[in-house]
Amino acid sequence: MKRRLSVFVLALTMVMPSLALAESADEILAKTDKAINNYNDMSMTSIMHIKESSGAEKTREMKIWLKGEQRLVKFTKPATDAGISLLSTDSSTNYVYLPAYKKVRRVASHVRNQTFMGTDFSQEDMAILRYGDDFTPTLKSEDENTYTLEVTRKPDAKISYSKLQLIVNKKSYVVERIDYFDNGGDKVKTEVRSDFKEIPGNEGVYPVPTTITMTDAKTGHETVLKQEDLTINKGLDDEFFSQRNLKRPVR
Amino acid sequence: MSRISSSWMVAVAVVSAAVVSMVRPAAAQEWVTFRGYVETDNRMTIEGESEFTFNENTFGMTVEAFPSDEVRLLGSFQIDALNTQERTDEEGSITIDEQQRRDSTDPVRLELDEAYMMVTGLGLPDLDVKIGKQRIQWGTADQFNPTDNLNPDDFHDPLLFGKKTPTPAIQAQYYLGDFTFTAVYLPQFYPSLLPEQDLRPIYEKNYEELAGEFHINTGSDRLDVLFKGLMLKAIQQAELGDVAVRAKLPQNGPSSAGAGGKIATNVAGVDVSTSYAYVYDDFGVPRRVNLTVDPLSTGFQFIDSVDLEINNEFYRMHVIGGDFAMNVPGLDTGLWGEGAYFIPADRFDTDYFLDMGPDVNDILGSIAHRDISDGVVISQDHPLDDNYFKCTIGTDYTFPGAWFINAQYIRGLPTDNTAETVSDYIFAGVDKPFVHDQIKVRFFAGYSFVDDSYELLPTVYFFPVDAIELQMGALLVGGDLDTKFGAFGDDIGFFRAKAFF
Repeated sequence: MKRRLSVFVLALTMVMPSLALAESADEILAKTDKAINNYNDMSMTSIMHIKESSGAEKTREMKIWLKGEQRLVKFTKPATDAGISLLSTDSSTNYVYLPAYKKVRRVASHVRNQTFMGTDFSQEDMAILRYGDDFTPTLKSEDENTYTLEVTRKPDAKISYSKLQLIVNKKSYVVERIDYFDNGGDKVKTEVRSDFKEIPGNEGVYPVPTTITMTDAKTGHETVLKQEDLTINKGLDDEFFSQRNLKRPVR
Repeated sequence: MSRISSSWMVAVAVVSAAVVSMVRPAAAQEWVTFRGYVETDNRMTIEGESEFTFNENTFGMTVEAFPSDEVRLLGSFQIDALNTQERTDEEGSITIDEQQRRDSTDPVRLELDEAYMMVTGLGLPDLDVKIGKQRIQWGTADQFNPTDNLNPDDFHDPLLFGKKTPTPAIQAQYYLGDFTFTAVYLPQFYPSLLPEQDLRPIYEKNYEELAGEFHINTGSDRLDVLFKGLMLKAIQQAELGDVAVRAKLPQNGPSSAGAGGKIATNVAGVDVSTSYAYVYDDFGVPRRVNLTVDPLSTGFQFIDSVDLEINNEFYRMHVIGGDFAMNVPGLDTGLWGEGAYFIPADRFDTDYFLDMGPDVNDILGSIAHRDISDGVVISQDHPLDDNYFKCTIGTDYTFPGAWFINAQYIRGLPTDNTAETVSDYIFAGVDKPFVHDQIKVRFFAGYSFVDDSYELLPTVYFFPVDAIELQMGALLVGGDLDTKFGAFGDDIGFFRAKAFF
């Protein structure tokens, strides 16, 4: 009897592999959160190309350091913005250093859902680290390579979007595309992550997108973010994310 | 510390930056950075007959060098090409000598903004020391900081009200966990830079108030009666003649040095700090005011004008301050507040002397059996008898549609430097970006409760391409010339273009 059951299970597994390996939306999102946080700390150079509707293009260049919720951003180009630095130690503690005023200022969290330096990104877009903390997932569909998850904002979450639609790679669990929806349920922008570069992470390989394109759904305005000089686990300590460091110039 | 030693600090920083730039050119790309800007700033009156009032073209540059991981050298300067009209007399004329000099026909000004060296981890890993000409910014409030009294005020440009001038200093900051300890030593006193505005309406108003309060007390009843009978009424009804204002700087030495300390930390998500400074007021308070008349030429009862000579002095003060800044939980709103309690350490009076010329002074002095060769005291104020408190509290929020609102109440602007002059104001601003931040419209307004004067500052910013900023706007003021904002003068329009590199 026991042998018959084993053969049945094996046969079922072979015939219906997708049914046997089916993952719940929660499991997929948990794996996604783990995959995109497969590091302790990260630093990179980000170059944002802002494509105006007139055809003109503007460029923002910055150095970014990340560790958990902590984030330090220092602008290096254009010259208008060079030296401006942003420090975020948690969702409600943000500082900006403006070299023209030689002063560090506390910035309230109302700025998080505003556009970031004229780009199509908001600080909030870049600060979402774990989708499972703020969203409840539903598996909408899947194909050979990807899952499509719809994640809906939890009632107590401090997120301006009502829901996101995530396209998740089945193999690596990284996010390849995000559609953002406002409180009215309208799509406001789309983020496409591509040109993944595989680097050693905390556990196995960490695929990092080196190109991220954010497109405004209404205007077609587009920002292409290129991530260069990406390194992880340099051993940044918490003191690195301090006002002392915020004021220091980039070398 | 003497003037020489403070100059030495600046010189060391400047020379170090220069030497670093010259000695290691091969590595310049790696550890010397240059950034700067070119700006043109043009203003004209927009009421009555339009007139260009301001035209400056500026080249500004900042050089930073990092000779090692621990050392940072910074020098920043600007060269301003001024409008020739700024060098003319009241009739708009220059002399032939001036027309023969380039500094008159093509005037240029060089300003050294900051020049300092900063050493990180000096002796202790968490100790930073900065020495040289520097801006020391205290306070968490927006633009007007009652605790920020280490650098002198720069009132030169009404559009940059609240600006301060960097001065030589030694600053040490020690970081211990969530605490930051700051100690500052300022070897030398620097007065504030006053605006190039017509101050006469203010003096006329002050004289009018002063004249009504004159009392004569020579120590001789007979002489007092003589004064009152002969000329008091005439003086009270006389017009204001010439006005001369002088300011006596404190003795240049260790006794005029300033110092301060601050402790900052975060308590339950709120940034807080407390500070103390022992510095000079940089605006000045009249110590002696001479009212000069010439009764021998006009007759005692027919004095028609009084010349004023105001002798200001700068007083020492203790400033005890505190501030906070926070994100209001649940509202995502910024809230900040700052207060400072000013305790004058020099409590001198303001004496008003009537000077009738040496001959009359001597004659009247002999009658009164008193030495009144310098004149006779006819009034006295006590501006520094009382301590005073300045504070500000403000909030900001971004509403849907990227409408940024900022509002703050202020008690005491930088020019309010005695208990009697501290008054109340409110400032508010709205920012709204358009076209992905290519255009930004800002509307800023200020109101003075003490005299109902106000300022309106609408500005449009345009960023057509990277590194270019264009500004167009107006400064509209309401109030007489002797009021807080009315003193800015005529309404002006301005256009600025700035290119960064």
